[in-house]
Amino acid sequence: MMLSKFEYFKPESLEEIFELLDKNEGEYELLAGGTDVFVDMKHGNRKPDYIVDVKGIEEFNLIEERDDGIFIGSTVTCNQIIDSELMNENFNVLVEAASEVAAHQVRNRATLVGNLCTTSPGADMFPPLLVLGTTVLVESKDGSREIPLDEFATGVKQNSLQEKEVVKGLLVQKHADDSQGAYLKKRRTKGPDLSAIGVAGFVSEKEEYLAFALGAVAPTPILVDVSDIFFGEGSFEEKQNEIQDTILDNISPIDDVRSTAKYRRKMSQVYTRRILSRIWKAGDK
Amino acid sequence: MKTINLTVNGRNFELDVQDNEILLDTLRKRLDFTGAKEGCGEGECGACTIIMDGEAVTSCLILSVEADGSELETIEGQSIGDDISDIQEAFIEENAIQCGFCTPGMVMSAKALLDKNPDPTYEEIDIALSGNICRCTGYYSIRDAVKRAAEKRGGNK
Amino acid sequence: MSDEMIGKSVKRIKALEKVTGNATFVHDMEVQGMLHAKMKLSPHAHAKIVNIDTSEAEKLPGVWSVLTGKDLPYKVGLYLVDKDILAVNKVRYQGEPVAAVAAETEEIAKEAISLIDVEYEELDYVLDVKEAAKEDAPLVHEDLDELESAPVFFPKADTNIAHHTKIRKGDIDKGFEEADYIIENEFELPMVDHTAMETHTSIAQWKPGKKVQIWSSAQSPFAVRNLLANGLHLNHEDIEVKVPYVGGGFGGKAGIHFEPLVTCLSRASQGRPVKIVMSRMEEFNSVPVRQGLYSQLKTGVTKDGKIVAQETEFLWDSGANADYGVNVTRAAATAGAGPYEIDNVKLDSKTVYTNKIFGTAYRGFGHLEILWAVERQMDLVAEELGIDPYEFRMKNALRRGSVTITGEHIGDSHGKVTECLEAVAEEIDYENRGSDDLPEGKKRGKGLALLHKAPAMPTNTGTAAFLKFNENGTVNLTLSLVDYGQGTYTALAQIVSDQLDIPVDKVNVVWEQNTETQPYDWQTVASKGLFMSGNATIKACEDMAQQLKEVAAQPLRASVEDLIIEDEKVKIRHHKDQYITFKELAMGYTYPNGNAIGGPLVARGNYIAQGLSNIDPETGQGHPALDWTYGAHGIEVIVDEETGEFEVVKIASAFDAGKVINEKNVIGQIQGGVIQGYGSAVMEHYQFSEDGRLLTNSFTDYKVPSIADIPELTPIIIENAQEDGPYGARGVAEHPMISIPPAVANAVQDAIGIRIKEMPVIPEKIFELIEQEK
Repeated sequence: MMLSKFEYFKPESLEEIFELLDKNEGEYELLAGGTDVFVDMKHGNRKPDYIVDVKGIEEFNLIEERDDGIFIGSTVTCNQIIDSELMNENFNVLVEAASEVAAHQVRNRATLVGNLCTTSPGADMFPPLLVLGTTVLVESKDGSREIPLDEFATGVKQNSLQEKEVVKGLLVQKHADDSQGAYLKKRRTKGPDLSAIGVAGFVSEKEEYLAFALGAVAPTPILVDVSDIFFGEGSFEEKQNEIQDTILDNISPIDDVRSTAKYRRKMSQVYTRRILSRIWKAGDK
Repeated sequence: MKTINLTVNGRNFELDVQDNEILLDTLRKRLDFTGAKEGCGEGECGACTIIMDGEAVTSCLILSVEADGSELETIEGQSIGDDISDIQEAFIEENAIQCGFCTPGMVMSAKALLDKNPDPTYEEIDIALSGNICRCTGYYSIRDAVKRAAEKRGGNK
Repeated sequence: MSDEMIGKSVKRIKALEKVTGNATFVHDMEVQGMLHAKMKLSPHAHAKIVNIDTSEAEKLPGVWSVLTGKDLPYKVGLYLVDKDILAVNKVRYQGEPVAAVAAETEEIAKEAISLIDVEYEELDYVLDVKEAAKEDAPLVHEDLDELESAPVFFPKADTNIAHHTKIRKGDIDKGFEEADYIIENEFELPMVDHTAMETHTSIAQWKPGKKVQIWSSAQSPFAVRNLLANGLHLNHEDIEVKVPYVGGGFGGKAGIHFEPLVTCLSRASQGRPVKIVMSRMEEFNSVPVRQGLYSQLKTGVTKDGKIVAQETEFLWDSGANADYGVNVTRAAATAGAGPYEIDNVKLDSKTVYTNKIFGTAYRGFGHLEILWAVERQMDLVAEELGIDPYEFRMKNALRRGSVTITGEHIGDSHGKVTECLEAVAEEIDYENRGSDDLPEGKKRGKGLALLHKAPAMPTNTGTAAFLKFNENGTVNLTLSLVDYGQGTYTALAQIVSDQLDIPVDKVNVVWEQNTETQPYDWQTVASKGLFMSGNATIKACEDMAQQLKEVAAQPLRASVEDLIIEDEKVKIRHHKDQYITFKELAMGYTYPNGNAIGGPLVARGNYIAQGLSNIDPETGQGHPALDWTYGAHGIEVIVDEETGEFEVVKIASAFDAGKVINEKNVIGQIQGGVIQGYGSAVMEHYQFSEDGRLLTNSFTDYKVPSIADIPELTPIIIENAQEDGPYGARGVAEHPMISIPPAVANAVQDAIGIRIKEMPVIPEKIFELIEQEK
């Protein structure tokens, strides 16, 4: 399969990116891993006049602990997440989700930020980043801005990035050392698959924080913060049931080639329960 | 149009490529490395797998311009004349080849794995190779071939 | 002749070429001056073509030819000649090619396609096979009665029924009267794709004198030649078909596909070679599939478990063209009651047109599809009776002395399905089916299923083989059977090695096929390769042995009867120190004084199916089966009784192979077939939109098994000799795939009691049934 014609640029700095976006006419794509962009282009869904490859910008390929969170640059790949000690120590929910993306070869190229920017309803990286609390760091010629991830997706494959904006990276909230997370995904095969439903859960007793996020059950991934319920009154069973009901209220799954609305509703409950029993030790607390 | 340098199996090539030229096509049609195949063009079948700077990648989703300056390894580089690699030997010994179309990609995925992890578990083999579709063998012999290659490299898990 | 070669797992021929990437597939080929072809596809399931404007495309620099249906007044078809090369007057499925271009580059061809303007008038379409079979359904082929058809197929004018096979054994009404219980069920399964890793691709060059040269990724070079000659009114001897390495076929490349199109494009392009390669999306959308099937079974049983009557209707969803579909309909019908003895059978098997991509040959040739219904019905009936599914099968299985539904008698040369069943039941410890060791909410189930299949082929199917010596005493074997991964060539080399007592690495089986230089083979399908080509090879070896002895007799001063073949030599039986080597005979024997006798040795063998007969059009009685291969699967699953999620934990698969020539290759076929069957069982299915567009047109949503999916598998080979097979061997090629789906569903039923009747077996369906039970 072929790609339509375009001009290719590989800038070495953010400033250069903005210069290119300023100087060139027509539609463009920012290129990181290419595993979504090129597939779309081969199907004729995108036809950029020029492509700006951001892999030449060193500061984008970074995973770094900072005072205000952990920075993940926009060209960090899924496999880099999986291999990162920092990620494994702090954010195993992110490692779990990254491991679920496509196949090993694709994970060597596909980036977290790319996954977010494609903004598929079922994007695997979205739910874990939502439950962790993530800010999208955006740069443009006019300066920087930050978008909380739960405001980032605006519809199916639509996000709140403006023209000529570039995502520099993500800032993921740091959490207490008792935090636990998990990601479960419904697959049709144990090999590479998109998610028919993906659920991330994250808890920290010290922070009194419990949240779930679900993908492929609404036009955008959905964050459901159930801290108040979980750290409030009631037995574990009662709280779990209320959490499950709350989640049901927040999602609107459909029938499609990958699964049915009914089954997605069922599995949203089941995964929530399974994740909770995995990340929350002991019964009533 | 850009002039790029590709090192393929240790041999350097300087060539002019279109901006929209795909690495798989450059390898197959311009450099005659036809081992890597186009099975789907979308990164889903693994038949186009090569190793780029030490990582297994699906070359159907990479532009040649992106590979400028990279070290590429393809199936053609795994043997010199009749001297085949330990992985290739293992594939033959375990009968892990039927029609042969997926084989180059499969061998390269196996090599990428064993170069980093010379003694993988079956689970690690599955993770490395689940992006390579084989319709003929049922994969049992392929798994055994990777294990056998690991043994040849001195592994013992 | 020693038998140590037979049964040995000799290394696969051409493995070295494949593992080094040296093997050249048509996918890799470029021919000098070659143009690239692309097709314009219909977006509609059923529509009249009002107008096609190709003027802009023709003007594009680099375009050599543009063709539409009106340029190609030909029809192609294996049995029912119903297919246009490019749609004429109307399109019958979304994805049907309506125009094609040949251009200097793929990019130009693609652009030219986008410049072709097609005006359609949409028509009523029919997608569901039950609807399409009705009298008032929109007609896919209005001209059905005008189409040419092979004499054993019977299309029904003014309907969508392309063929109807009837099997009538005994007296069905009497049978149901004898029954204590009558159990009726309906079953369904969707279309699936072969998904060979190399997509369909062909190159054709039109030459002066109406000659054609073709390279194709094809299973049957002589079928391509024959159908091209018939379709385009050319002479057989003027068509040369070459097949290099083939990247998988599974039946999808058994017949003819795009060869006529590229031939016509080459002709329209002043004889430039033209290559077409299907993209994966086109492969899913516009290249034929495996038929879907709707079945209705009505089974009458006595209370002690004897099946006394079975009434069956099969409606084959064959899509827009008959292709192999009519033969699938016929062949599967002859096996349509499963490997069981049933005295009273009424079976109606119909090929039905729908406005979808059409079906072709697919590994199993209808048998996986019918056995989904039959083997599920067995468990459902057993459940009603309160009899264990194993016992129920044992009671009714075909044995020596049984008569099949086409009137064939099971004799000494048949395999033993009961042994296969015993073997798998034991391997999965079928008697112990508890769930006590499992965590709460998980249930274990074990399921069994039997299978049988004979080659589906004309009664006069034949094949031939040539054998010749090289100067150094090695031999070349040439045949037109294609080895596209099955490993047949390796087995044939072993046969030559055994027959002529020559080391197997001195036997060169010529890899590429060429209809000009190699002897005929009907098609590489039907699991008949080893059987028939093996027999032909043995005859070629016998011919060669005779010739070797005849020449050697003279210098050895012995009569031919005194001579034996041993250790690459012709020896005097009672004076083995007196011999002449093959090498000395290969190009003729030269005496010390210079006199020469004999000559370059070339031998031949052929084999034609013996004693087969067509089935009666009203009763289905006859002898169509070359040999039957029986098998069985035992499958263990663990099911989550709340969610319907399930895990296939273990599979045991047994086949009565008659005699194994190369064990590793047979195991390779078993492993590959089981996993392909597993794909059909639990994940593969074509899904269409309401208006007939294919939704699952890429690997994104058409899922096939990966290395991570494979359950534990124990292959078991049973050897009850097939007397007329080479060394007693039968084919085990398609068979491993057959009956995997019902074995899975039977295991799930065993685990949690729910009764799945539709494939694939997926959690959503199991969950739905669990909820319904509540």
